[in-house]
Amino acid sequence: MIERPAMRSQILTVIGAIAALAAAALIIVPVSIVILSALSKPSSGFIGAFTLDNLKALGSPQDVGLLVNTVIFTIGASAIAIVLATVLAWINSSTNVPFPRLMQLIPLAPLLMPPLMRDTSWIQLYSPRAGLVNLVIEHVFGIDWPVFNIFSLTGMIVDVGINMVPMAYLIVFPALKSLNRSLDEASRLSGAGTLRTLREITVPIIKPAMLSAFAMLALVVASAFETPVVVGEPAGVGTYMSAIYRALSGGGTPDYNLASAQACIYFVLNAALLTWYLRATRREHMFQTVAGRGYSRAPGYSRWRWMLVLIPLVYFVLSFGQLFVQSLLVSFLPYYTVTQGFPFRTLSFGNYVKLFQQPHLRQAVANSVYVSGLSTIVTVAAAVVLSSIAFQTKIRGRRFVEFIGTLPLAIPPMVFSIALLITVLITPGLNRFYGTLAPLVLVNVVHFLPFAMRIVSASMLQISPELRESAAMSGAGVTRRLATISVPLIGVAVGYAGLLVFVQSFRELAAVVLLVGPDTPLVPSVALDLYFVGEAPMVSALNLVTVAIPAIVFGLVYGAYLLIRSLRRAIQAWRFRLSPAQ
Amino acid sequence: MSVVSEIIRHKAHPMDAKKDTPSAVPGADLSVQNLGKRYGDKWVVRELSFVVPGGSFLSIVGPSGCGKSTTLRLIAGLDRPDSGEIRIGSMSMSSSANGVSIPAEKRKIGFVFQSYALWPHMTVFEHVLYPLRGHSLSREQMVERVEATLSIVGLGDLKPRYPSELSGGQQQRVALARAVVQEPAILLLDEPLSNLDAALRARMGLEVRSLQRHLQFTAIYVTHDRVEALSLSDRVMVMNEGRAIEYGTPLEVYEQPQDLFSARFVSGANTLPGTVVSTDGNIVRVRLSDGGVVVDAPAKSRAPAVKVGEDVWVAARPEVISIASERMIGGSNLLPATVETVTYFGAYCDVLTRVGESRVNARVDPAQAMQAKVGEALTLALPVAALVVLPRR
Repeated sequence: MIERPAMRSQILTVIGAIAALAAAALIIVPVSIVILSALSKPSSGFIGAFTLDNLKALGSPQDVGLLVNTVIFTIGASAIAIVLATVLAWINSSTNVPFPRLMQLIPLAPLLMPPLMRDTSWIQLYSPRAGLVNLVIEHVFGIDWPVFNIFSLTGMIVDVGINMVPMAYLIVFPALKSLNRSLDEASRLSGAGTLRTLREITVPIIKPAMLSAFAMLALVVASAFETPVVVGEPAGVGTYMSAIYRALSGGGTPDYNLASAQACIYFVLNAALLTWYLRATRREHMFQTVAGRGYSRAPGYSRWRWMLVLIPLVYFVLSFGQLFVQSLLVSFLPYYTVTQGFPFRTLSFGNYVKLFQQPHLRQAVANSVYVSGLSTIVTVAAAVVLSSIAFQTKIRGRRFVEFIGTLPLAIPPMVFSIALLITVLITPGLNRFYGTLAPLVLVNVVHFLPFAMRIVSASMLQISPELRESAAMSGAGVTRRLATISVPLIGVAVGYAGLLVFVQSFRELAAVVLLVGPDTPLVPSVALDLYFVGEAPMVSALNLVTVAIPAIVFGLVYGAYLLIRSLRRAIQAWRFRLSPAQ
Repeated sequence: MSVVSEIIRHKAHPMDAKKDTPSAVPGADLSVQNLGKRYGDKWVVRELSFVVPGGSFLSIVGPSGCGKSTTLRLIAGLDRPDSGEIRIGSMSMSSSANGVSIPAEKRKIGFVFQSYALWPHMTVFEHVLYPLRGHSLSREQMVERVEATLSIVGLGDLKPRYPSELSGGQQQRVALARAVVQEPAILLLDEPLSNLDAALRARMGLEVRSLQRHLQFTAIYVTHDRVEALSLSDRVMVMNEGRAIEYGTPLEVYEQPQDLFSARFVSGANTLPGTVVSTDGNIVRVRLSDGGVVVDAPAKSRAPAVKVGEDVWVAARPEVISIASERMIGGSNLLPATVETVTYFGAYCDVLTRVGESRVNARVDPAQAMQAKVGEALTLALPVAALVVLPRR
């Protein structure tokens, strides 16, 4: 009955310390090894005599070219994404566009597509010689020079920029939507027109959200892997990602030391972007408090509403429709060629049948389900524990826990996989994990932890402590409070986080491409290999599997959740003889 | 349906019949000894001692940041005191001397939060059922109790609703029902009405009070609204800067304040500086610093006694001050003043005047206020019996 306060907080501190240290070790040890490897003499194994040669190589004209391309690619794609996302968010939050519910979902459509699906479709549609769109233009208008060329830096920027809109939209849209309409009205009544209101009131208020979105985008684009390799390499546009990948997976001896040095560039770049992001986010929260609640749909723009609807629709076709349909059609072809006229004449399920017949493909699907499933469970569990420590206790070092949870954002997944690879190879006890599924799970957990933590901790912060306190005042102890209040309230967020991790890890290629072994194929890595040998239809089939399996898993989990919930309600209604809900 | 009419119809609370011992004392005494709470170096509650007799209603009133909500959280066990002891009946709930601290969930205290703290995922029925789980009650008993409590607060028809489907007043009733369903010995209410509109606030206040009279729990009610505190309570405690500066019946605290702060905060009194010129058994004579007028005031009061030559405040509530008529001129306790503003409130008028360096507000009948012309002089009459002399420290 009598509680000793000191003891309880000591136990919490110890648990917190263990969790934080374990998380820190999993991240900091491999990263340190990458840095050591970058400072070691080439061909001296992984870690050897100290040298600055690898770092000096970064100053070579060739490497400076990589840096310039990487920076242009990152800024260009992020800028396109942020502009498109802001326009779409503005249409959905501040105008009376028709079909508002549908229009609000359209900007999220690209999330449904794995990167490899979108890249292969862009290439099949817009490559200079064999691109269907170029061929149709040639056929219809007689223009015989390629109008579009996906194999260029511009092509890469458009491809990735259009695809990154959802991430920016998810940050900018809530900021615009939470804007109190009265702020606008106050500006109008002060004599400012629509444009001046937009320029002097709306934009300055959502600027922190836009900056925070931009930093987040840059962080992700700079580490993007598929497009630089699949589109960038044939275009002759080298970036750091494609260079690192080639250094380690091309023919000849892999040069781990040079790759490590190139990877170190990312630590600097991402640390800067992450600092920027955190600072922008803090400002974003500050402005949100000021903006407050209260929202009503704006009445105006009646003459333009049918014009406005065109923007989301065109975006939908560009970002999703054309690419998805292309992949879907190609996946039903026995082979894909454009030299013999209209390519989609003989459609069949042949590729999908092969998935179940060929052991290698079947194995890949099974591995992917297993790795993603396990990664999801571990990541979400870690996110819940770390977020609880960081945001629901007052123990010392909780800020450090929060930092540890954010740190992986600064490490591109492929760089972390190199770190993990070297760590596993040089640590005597660990090398038996080489070529197993364990490193694949670990790399996914570390990579997706920040995303899961952001979702879970946001929902934890929304639950005011009074909701738990009122349970305590109702006589509920710690365990009952957890089971009846905290868990149900963050349950939905945990579900979202789980879904996100499962979907994303199922298609994640950069994190695993260097770690998969001959016995541990995953769906995306097999798809990449098949792409390089020109098996386009099978690649499309695998990409569709990557879309379908998470959807099926989600449907099953959600169905089970609805079933359990309605059963619980029914049992309760029966036990307490309640009249049905009104 | 109001609680009052409900109780008149039922005569007795449905739960009363089931009480095995009719003689059981309902509310428990609460005693707080030398309570203190510190955030960093700042003591937000200090040297706080008071006793609330079982079954009575205490309001704690004070400006925001005075430590009143913290005091409530310390009693509830939601925060840990840095000094002092809290006892409910004969049981020690928390004592810094021997390190005792009963967790909040074991104190059997009901708490109504300012934000209501309703759980978004539970229905009205589930909220009120929640505190009963863990008591050894049969299912029928639980349902009966929940139904009875919900009908008392007038929510009988809303059992399957979620909080988001309720109005502010209804949410407030759910929070109240949840807090009283386990028949707590003590109910703590933290500004429970501050989110309601004025009309509803007045009605809910009365309903809380009649619920308390009926169920006879000990209630501590925190508010910054002095009208709520005066109208609902048996006792009022005024807090400022973490200390209790006044404790008494509403009448005592309002009419006979012991302290400058509570005179201003609770009664809205005008306070005029002055010096005691003479004192006999019944009357203290004070020369006011502004205008040099001498006024008489009763020598007996709850405030500490004053000596000749001592600097004091003379506190005069606005509604006791009147505008002197022609025939009163030349009498005593008259104060020449200049009118600055006259504000019409319907039932009364506030005439704000200047007396030397001080401002004096007189709350008078609108008919009387007709005499007051902005910028012109008039004479204010201060009734001897209603003045309070407070030592200036």
